[in-house]
Amino acid sequence: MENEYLKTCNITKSFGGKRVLNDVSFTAKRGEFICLLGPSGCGKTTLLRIIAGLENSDSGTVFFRGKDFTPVPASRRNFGIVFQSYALFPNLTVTQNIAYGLKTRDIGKKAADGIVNEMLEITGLHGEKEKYPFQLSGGQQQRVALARALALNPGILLLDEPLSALDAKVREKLRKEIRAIHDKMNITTVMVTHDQEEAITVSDKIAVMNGGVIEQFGTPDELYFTPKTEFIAGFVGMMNFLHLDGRKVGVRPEQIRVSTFSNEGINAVVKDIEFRGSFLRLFLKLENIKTDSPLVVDVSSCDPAMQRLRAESLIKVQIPESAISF
Amino acid sequence: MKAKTVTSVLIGLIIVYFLLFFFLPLVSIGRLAFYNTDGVFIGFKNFAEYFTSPNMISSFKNSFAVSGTVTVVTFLLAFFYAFSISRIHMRGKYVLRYISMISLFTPTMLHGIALVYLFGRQGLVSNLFVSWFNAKMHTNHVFPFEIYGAAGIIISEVIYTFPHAYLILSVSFAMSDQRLYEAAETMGAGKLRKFFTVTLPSVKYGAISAITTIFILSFTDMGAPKIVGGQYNVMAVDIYKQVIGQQNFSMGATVAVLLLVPALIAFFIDRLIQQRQGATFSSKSVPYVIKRSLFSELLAAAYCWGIALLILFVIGTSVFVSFMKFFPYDMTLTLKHYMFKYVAGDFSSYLNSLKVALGTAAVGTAVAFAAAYTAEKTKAKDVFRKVPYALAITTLAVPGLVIGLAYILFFNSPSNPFSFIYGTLTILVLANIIHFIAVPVMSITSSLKKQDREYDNVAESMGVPPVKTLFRVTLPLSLNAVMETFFYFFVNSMVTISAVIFLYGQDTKLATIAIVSMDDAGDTAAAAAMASLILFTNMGVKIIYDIAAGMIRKKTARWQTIQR
Repeated sequence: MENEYLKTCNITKSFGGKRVLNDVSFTAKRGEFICLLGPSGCGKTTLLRIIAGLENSDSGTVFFRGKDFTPVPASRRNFGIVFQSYALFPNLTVTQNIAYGLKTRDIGKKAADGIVNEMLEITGLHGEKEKYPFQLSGGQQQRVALARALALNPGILLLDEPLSALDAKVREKLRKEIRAIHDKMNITTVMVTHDQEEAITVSDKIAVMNGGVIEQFGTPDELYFTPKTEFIAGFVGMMNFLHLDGRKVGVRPEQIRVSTFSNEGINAVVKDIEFRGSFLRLFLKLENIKTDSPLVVDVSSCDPAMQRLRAESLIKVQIPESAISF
Repeated sequence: MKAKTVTSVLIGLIIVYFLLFFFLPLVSIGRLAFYNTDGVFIGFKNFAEYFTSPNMISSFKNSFAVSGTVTVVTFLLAFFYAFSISRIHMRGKYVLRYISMISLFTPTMLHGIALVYLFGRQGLVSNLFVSWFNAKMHTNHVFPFEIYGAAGIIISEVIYTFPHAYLILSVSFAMSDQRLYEAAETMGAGKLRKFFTVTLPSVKYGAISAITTIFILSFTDMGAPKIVGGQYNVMAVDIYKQVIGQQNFSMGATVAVLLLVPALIAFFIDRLIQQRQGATFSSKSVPYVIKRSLFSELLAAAYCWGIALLILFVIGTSVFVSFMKFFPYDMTLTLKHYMFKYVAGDFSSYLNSLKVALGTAAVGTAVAFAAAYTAEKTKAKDVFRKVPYALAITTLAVPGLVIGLAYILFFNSPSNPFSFIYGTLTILVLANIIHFIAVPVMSITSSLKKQDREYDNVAESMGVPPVKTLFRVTLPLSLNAVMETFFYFFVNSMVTISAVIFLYGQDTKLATIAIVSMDDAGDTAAAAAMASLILFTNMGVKIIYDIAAGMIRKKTARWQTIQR
């Protein structure tokens, strides 16, 4: 059971004749942090809502700890959900929001207060407990939503793009916190996101979705180094596609070596240079090799030889053996 | 599982309610218009009869002529009034807004009575002033126009429809985006160009709404034409005469259908156009910034205060007259007209009005909330849950007179198991709720729409029953709209005459009906007193409402965002 804590089998769902999910299956172990990653419209949020019980699938089954949960209504599943919009009740204080679900359970006021305090502690909201949602910053509001979901000690924590409404700095900080809370409470988590960097840094496993199907389900480094499809290769991290000897090959920008003085390698012309702080991103046109778009290569911005490059500079390129074929 | 059953039962109940108290009564009108008394289908025979009667045809033409004129005049007046108040710097905007809304608080008969006192045969202006002028100047002028007829109706209806148009237009003006004006300015657009390319398009939808509203209101009002119409007949009064005067129900139903059709057309045009509107105003929009200009400020102030004073003058006349012993001959202050002794109406009708208004407000608010809530917040199948909302909105197209007539036909029939409500206060409350429910349902719906859709999902995932979330979150967040709805139902029930004039019984006469019978009997001062009493009541309720709203705002300020 621990290995099949949450399992979705052959989930299919259409909205008004348009198929949003097509035969989707994946399995989460107990305590895992899973990300559903994909571009907008790929069906990831719908899948999350089906897991939550807020949406009914047309066919397929959701198993939780070996039990068929498909007919169980959301109110009986005890899954905690955090929505993108936070959906905090604006007329209730932080404390009241966190205690909202506890009140309907027969656990006694003392126990409920204890849980609320613990949640305030975990999310670092003790100073704000009597405030109303609109008096809090976006990051704080998201933490309240998290505390509210966790207060009921849910079987699974479901996060629907929880960070996308926040600005970059807060987002980075909060995603570390979410992961820390996950580790501390050892709670199985499924998070929906469209941000591949977020998915790679935070999750144990990622299900990359496209057009209503899971194209690959694996650990972040599996996805990065051995993508199964072109879509995954292009969606997770940056990827160059080259046509070599009649086959299509993918190479990451940082795996390509370039040199301004060596005689070995393929001739290339610099078309454009982007300064990205710690590195320079070069856009190259290769001689004799077809690429889908200009070849992207990342080089150190501290290298004086690279600093001297200008548009139309000539350069030598070495494609590594480790390139992935499709 | 359980919540779902409750929702389905609730939706079912609301649908049954609308079927029983809205749809079926309307069907009975149709039946009467297209069938003869023996229940045989006669097609358009009644309509053919209608259009061969010269009297009827002239009413038909008159109705369109009057409401057409009223639509143009009110729209222009209200458009520039709303424009001035929202776009030009002025002192006393708050007062101006208040004055413009006073006529919402009065029955339309009050305007008619005032006009008779001012310009009627014994009128202050038409008679006393003219003869005083003639005596002084040794001339022999005659007051140039007759208030009884088209002129009186048009003036009354303009005063009646003005606040409705102003409110709709002022909302449109408030929703304009300053960024568009700045963009136009940077591209070198002048004042006139900005008006035509930015201002007008942004209020387009509001303007269409205002026009259809003015038309429907003036086309279907019978209060003012009853008082100042004289020999000038309009369709709204025809229904009344056919049904009450001649007991000719099938002709009454025929006129009702003819009254309903233009109203329905106007309603659907408006719906169709509003659907295209979409979101033109986003949370990123920047409110309009008023620029100062002395010339336009003076012009606008003169214009607005001119209109406001005219409204005050007309309404004030009726109020003033109601306190005079025998206007205009004996101007001693008296309360005797408020005693309603030896006149064709009495004080109990006022108490009945209060009861009906309170009942309508209480029950109506509950029904309106239920219809909006089921459509917006429940998880039943789309087709099913939107039916109550759609039915509620359609009531907007049905004039009060038609509802009233439909109710007699439907509930007075002995085979109807509900016929026991006929002649009680209950039927008046039920008619009023159907008559006025569309606007409340729309405003509660829009307030529910502003709330995050996920509230209910969050609560559900926590295993909290929907009822608890309704009382703990949804209702507190829609408190403003609920109070507004209560107020709206109350005020409208106090001033309405159209639906209820067919439905009152011996002991359930209402204040507005008493006004008509007192005016018919020549007790005009008492009629003015009753109309003023309604005005005072509504103003009092408005003050209580404002105080209560203010207190709630203060209490909820801590969690209220900037949304108003």
